[in-house]
Parts: sequence; C-alpha cells; structure tokens
Amino acid sequence: MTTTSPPRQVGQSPRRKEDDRLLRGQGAFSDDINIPGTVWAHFFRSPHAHAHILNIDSSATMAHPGVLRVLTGEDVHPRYNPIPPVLAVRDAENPDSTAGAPAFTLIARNKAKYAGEIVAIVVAETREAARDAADLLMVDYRPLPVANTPEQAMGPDAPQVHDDRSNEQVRWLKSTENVSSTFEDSEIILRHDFVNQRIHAVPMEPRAGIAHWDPATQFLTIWASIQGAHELRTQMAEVLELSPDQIRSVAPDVGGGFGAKHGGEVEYFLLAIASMELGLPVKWAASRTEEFLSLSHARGKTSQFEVAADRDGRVKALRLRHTTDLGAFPKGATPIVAQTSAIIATGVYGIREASFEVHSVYTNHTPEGAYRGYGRPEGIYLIERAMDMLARDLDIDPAEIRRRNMIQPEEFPYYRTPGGDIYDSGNYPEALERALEVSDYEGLRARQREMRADGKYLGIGLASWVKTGGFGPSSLDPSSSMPEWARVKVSPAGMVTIYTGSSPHGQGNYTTYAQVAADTLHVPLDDISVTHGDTATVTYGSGTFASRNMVVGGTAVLQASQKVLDKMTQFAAHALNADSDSVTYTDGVFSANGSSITFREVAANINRVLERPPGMEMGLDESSFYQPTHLTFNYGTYVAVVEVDPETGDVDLQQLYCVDDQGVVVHPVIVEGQVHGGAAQGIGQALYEDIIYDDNGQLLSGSLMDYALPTAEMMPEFISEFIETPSPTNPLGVKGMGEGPTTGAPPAVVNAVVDALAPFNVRDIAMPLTPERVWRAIQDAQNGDQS
Amino acid sequence: MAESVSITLTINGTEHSINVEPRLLLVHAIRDVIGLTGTHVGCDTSQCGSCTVLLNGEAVKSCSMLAAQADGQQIETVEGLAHADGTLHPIQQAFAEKHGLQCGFCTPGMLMMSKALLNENPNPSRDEIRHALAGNMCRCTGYQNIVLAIEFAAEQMAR
Repeated sequence: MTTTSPPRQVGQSPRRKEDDRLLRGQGAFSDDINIPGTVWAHFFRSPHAHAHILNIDSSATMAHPGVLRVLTGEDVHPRYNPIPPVLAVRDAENPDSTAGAPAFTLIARNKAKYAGEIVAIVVAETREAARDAADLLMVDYRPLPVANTPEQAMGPDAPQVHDDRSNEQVRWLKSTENVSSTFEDSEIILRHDFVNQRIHAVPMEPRAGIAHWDPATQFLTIWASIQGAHELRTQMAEVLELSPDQIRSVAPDVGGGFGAKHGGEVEYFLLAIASMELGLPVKWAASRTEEFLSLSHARGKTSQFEVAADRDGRVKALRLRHTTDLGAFPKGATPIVAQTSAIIATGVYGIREASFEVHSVYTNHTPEGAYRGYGRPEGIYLIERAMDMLARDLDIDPAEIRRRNMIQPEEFPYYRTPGGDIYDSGNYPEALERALEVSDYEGLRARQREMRADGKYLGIGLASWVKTGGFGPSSLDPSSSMPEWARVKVSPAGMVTIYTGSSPHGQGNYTTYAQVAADTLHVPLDDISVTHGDTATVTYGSGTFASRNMVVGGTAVLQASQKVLDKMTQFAAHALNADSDSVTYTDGVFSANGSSITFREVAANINRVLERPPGMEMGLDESSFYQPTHLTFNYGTYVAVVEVDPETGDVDLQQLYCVDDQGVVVHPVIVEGQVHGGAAQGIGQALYEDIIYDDNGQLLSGSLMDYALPTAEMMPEFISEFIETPSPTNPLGVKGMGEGPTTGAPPAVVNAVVDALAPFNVRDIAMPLTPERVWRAIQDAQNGDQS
Repeated sequence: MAESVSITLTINGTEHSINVEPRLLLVHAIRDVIGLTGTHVGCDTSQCGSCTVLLNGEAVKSCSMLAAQADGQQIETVEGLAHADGTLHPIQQAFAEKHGLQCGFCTPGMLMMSKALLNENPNPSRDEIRHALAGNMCRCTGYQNIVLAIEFAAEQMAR
C-alpha cells in the first residue's frame, strides 16, 4: 500500500483538546470527586525528626463526636506489607550485586524517622471532625539525636536512621582506566565543591485521594493524584495482598506532578487500608504544609568536582564524588539515581577519562524522590559551572571553551560516554552557535563592557546541556524495562479513541497523541479522543515520567494506529477487488482499480459480515506495546542575561534564550510551553527555592510563605528556538524534552550572575542566589575571602 | 461545633441559602456545600490564588474569608465565566489561544484574577499584568503565556 498524507498534524500547533473543560472549571481533580457516604482521613504526623514512640493514647480522639477509627503502626504493620522499592538497588558493599533497599514503611511503629512521618490515621465523618480529633491524640515520644546531613550520617557514631542497616545505602564506584595518570599529566587542575540544594516540586494541586473498598464485591477503587494509575495498582496489590484484578486505580485530572507524584505515596495505601477496615469510602486532601513535609524532596546533593585540562581549555578528565541525601526512605529509584546523576557530568563534551564515586545516604529528612530531571540537572550543573571557572582561569571566552570541548556531530549516532550513557544523536555545536546568534552574544558582551564603564553589572551565562529521555530500554537492565501500551479503536461511525498508559497531567497528550494518530489515519483531530489514567479502561501503563510520553507512549500510539490502518487496507482491498499492495490511501480515501472507499465507509462496513473478506474479524480495535531499545538524549544551549545590583545583591534576570533539540517537534506551542515551565523551575532553583532544615531536622521552609515559589514578576522573558536532529531510536524521531529546561536553566543563570560579578572577583555563589548571598559574596571577595 | 449559621450566597446569579459552621471557609462552602468544584485549594497560607473568586466584582481569595462573611454578597466563580449560550468568555478563549494553561489547576484562579484586572485596567502593560498576578501561582507555564493570554484578551475585549 502507498499512502499520501494530508497536511501533517505533527509539527502543527492545533488548540489543545483538553483546554475547554479545564477553562470552564469542569476538570475533575481528585479532591473534586465525591462519593455518597464518604468519610475523611486526617494523618497525624511526627513533630520530631527522630524519636522513639513510647505510647499512643487515642481515647480522647475516639471520644470526639464523629470519629470512626484511629489506626496506628500497631494496627497496620502486622497486617499489611510495606511498599516495595520500585527498582532494585545496588548493594553498598558489593557494587555488582543488587540488593533490596529497605521497603518504604507505611506508618511509623516504635520510631519516627522524619518530621512529617505518619504516626496515626484518624477517620471521621467530616474533614473538620477528623482534624479536630487528631488534635486530641496523646503521643509520648523520646527524641533521639538526628542524622541531619549525609556527611554527618556517614560519620562515626552517627545516629542510625534504620536499625537494620547502615546509613549509607549505596556506595558506587566507576572509573575509566587512565584517570589518575591524566590528572598527573595535566597542566591545569580545577577543584571545586558544589551544592545542589534540596528543593521541592510543588505541583499546584496538593495530593488528594479517595479509596473505596466494597466488601460485597471485595473490590477496591482508588482515585489519586498520581502520575501513573497502573503502578499504584501494582504496589497496592502487594501492600494489601490483593490480586491486581481486585483493584481499579484511577488518575483523574492531575494538577502537575513533575516527578514528585510518580509512584504510590504512603497516604494512598493508608486510605485503602482505612476503607477496608471500615467498608466506607475514605477521602483525604493534603494541605500545602503536608506536601512540604511529606511529598518527596529532590536534588539534595553535595559534590567534590575536579577537572584536568590543558592550557587551551581542553578538558581531559574529571573526578566526581557525589553524595545524595536520601532522606529517611528510598522513594522510587532515588538511591541509584545518584549514579545516573554522576555519569552525565561529562555533559556535551568529549571528555574521555572520568571517575565517579557515589554515596546515597539516609538522614532524618523527608524522603528524596524524582523531580523533573531526576539527577541530571545536578550532574550538568557541575560541568557547566566548572567550564565557566576554567574559562575565566585561562582567559578564554565561555562560548569558545565549550566549542573546543564539544562532542562533534560526526561522532553520532550512539556516542558512548565514559560513564556508559549512549547519546543517540545531535549537533551540539549547532545548538551553541544558534544560541549565540539568537541572543546576539557579541552584542551582549559589548553592552556588558559599556555598562561596566558606567558602574552597572550585566552578566551573560551560558549552559550547554544534555538530558536523558524516553525511559526505559530493556538494554539498560531487563528488570527495569518500561514499555508503553496503546490501543486505537475506530467506532462504526468512524470516531477514533486512543487508550494510552501514559497519562498526562499538563503535557497536552490529549492533543499530541491525537496528532500522531491523525497523521496515520487521516482523521480530523475533532474525531479523535484520548482515554487514560484508569486501569478499568487501559490494559497496561508504565506511566508518565522521565521525558517518555511522546518517545515511548507516542510510538505505541503510532504502532497501534498502523495496525488499524493495515486492517482497513485489507478490507478496502477486498471491497475494491484489488491486492492490498495496490491500494493507495490519500486524504482518508482508499483507492484501487479506479474505484474508492472512504475511511468512514470502511469503519462502518467492516462490521457487516457479508462485506468482510473471509477470515477477517469484525471491528477495528488494535493495541500495541512499544519497548524502546535505547534512551534518547535531548540537549541545547541556554543563554541567561542578568543585571546585578551590587549594593543590594538583587539579581534582575532579564532574558533566558533557550535553544533546544528534542528531535522532531510534534506540537511547537506545547513544546515551547514546556521549555518556559521547565526553565522557570530551573530558575527557581538557581535564584529562589530552598528546603531548609534546622539543627533538629525541623523543616523551616515548609509553606508557601517560607518557600520562595516564583511568581510572575520573578520570571524573565523566555525566547525559545528549536533545532531538529531526529532521534534514530524511534519512528517518530522524537527525544522527549520536558526535563531539559530544568537541567539547562540553573547553570545558565548562576554563570550569568557570577559573570556579572567578575569585576568583584566573585568566583562562585551557592544556590539559591538570594540577594543576601550575592551581597555577601561580593563583600567576601572584596575582603579577599575567595568563595 | 454543633452551632451553625444560616447564610445566603448568590453565586453566578443563583441564590443558595445554606447552613454552615461559623468557621467554614468560603472556598469550602463553594466547593463542598454548593458543589462548584472549579474553584481550587492550592495552599493554606493565602499565597497561591487557586481559590480566587470575585466578590461583588473584586478578586478575593476564598480561602481567606469565612463563608459567613460573604452572607448576602454576589460571588462569581469560574463556572459563571462563560456566556449563557455556552461560548467561552474572551479571557477563557485567550488562555486557550495562547496556551496559557498546562495542568489547569491554577487556571480558574488565574481567569478570575484576570477578569478583575481587566475590569479595573482594560489595557494593562505586561509589567502591570505580572504585578496583578503576584498573588496567583502557576508551576507549569513560567507565566509567559499567561501574560500573553491576558494581553490578548484585553485586545479582544477592546474591539
């Protein structure tokens, strides 16, 4: 068969199909879902970061009007399993083996391991009664010394977070052969310690959920604000010792996730347990402070970084010691993410020798988890800051030093890094040159010189970055392969329904998956709908994370659409008395032998027995799994422009120029929106956001009054441009892209601020670059204290 | 908390006479008692603005006042924004046109704040728009397309 496409949908920017409902206030987020007879849960959380729980007296709570049940660790632990880790974790003492991390305990028993860990669940007839009654719970604690930083937690006599294992969950080493000799032979060695501070994803929708166990049918339904309904079902079955067939898990409209809502959260399992205990629907909606206390934090890493280079600024080798604060429990893949974070530190450069030493350490902090970029922003931050330091030391322009070190286009496809990543495709110098052109880099440098003469401090910061997408190939580790599934169904009326296991929560996949199917089936977008996020209607799903939706989910949609088209072509061939090979498909019409039949006619007639070829089943309903074989690597170069007021330390971030290559761009407006939003989050880390604990492990920045979530006036103008090298790994040629901007923005912004302050000899400022830190850095540098 | 007060709220032109606890927040009256769930709760410290509604035409955070304080007042929520024939308000159309929303959770508050802004200042500059949004947080968009949407809405409404 040959097909001639109508104007392609892929590459266009039609209006989003999901918007109308959301704009009318008709979204259905988890807290919007109500079932008659629902009762409310309130989670009572430990006020101590580390404490023995000596006694829990719930008599006053139970006596409060409307209270139905109080559950504690003594009730939950004997009867339900802890949450198994998502991925196997490499054993600290034996890097080649895999061993389980401690399972994620649902609720504290005997000991609380972080401030915010759940100690009891109070269920009452109303939200208010549950909260009031929880205030009456009497818990006796004996506070314990706190493991408050990874460095302290690795030291001798450190408080042990888990009784049955050391605080250091992962110690991992990897090195190429000639790192030491390369360092010994190098003229230039740069050493610097960097901190990627802990931050919080802050999806605008706080988590919420409602669990409904029906004792009559022995069936559990749970609606939850999560990134993947199927993963929650799998975990739920293990925790509750139910068959997955007894569970329906639904991710309805989800108000942002950014990784933090990936994987089951303890609260959802406890809602299910409470519902099973009571036989009633049980609901919970988190307060924002609960989110800061208990929804995973991210990034928290300290790094000792060394690069060896020649006098021309060509980097020959790097050494990295990278330490992650895991918090009290290993959420998802976090313990091993420090490894992927480390190995990407060679960045977009042809550095041949590298050694990595990784420590993932338990502390009495809120668990670490995924957040947009999951480890890669931290690794890229190191090399991009070091490149600027090296450029300054050697008096080379930051653009030129990057140019000299970049992996060249002819080294693709499938460039293997010293750490073992395999970059699929790209033209890194092109992204750099395009960014210099779009930002008028030379003009900015000229303006910088003029302004300095007037006592004003303009800064220009570059970051060239690369980020993994399209998780997850079976080639990495067969046990962690993550395929995606799609089903494409055509009704007798010719309407198309796509079912996908990758449920969007802002990414626009109602529209972009429809674009993919439309290009194959030649159907208007209005005739296509997308169903997702419900295990009752979607057979399989890995979920939405790791820049995988278009790469893996989109390819599954493409494959299922092609299967439908193949069957329609066979039917058309029969109807037109032709071989399928001679049938052409143009603008929704199958033609052969001078006659034709439309898409809609095939959709209708395929259900009529007398019209079908012998042996063909009725209906148009095909599904497909796509298992990627390689990761994709999107990349780009960003240029930040700042003006810094040295009197106040105030940073005015004026523009962020973003040149991204994410392979084929399916919907430019949506992709640009992802660039804006991801870059905004990266800017938040660079300038504003900080998770701060006091000496007792108490979270100080635990509300939106204390945690500086950026507002509109804190954001620059974004200028977004694309270059396109299609990925060879998948038929759509896409690379995934949502996590690139959080990777590129932090070093670009910090490099710009440090560049602005070069006349003051400021060499580094630790994120976030608050006015106070900037002002102090200037004072310290003036006083001769090199930061 | 057995005591309750009897109040009347006029929401999107419809009168609702309800009995509520004196401590009930306006946002919970709107969401849980009246059942209009388009108005969202995104924080508990009055920062995020997801709960923004119009009270007698002025933007207020409905998490920061008691339902009882709104007794006898006119309230407009996102559900009342579209025209009676179902067509979207120009502000809603502009958010769709300029990709001013991603997950859609902050959007109802953004729309109501935009309406209050354009009532007061029909032709705001970009800086004025950003300033007006200081109490409305979005984590998805980086705000740029929201600013462009409000600017576009102002142009459309001036026609």
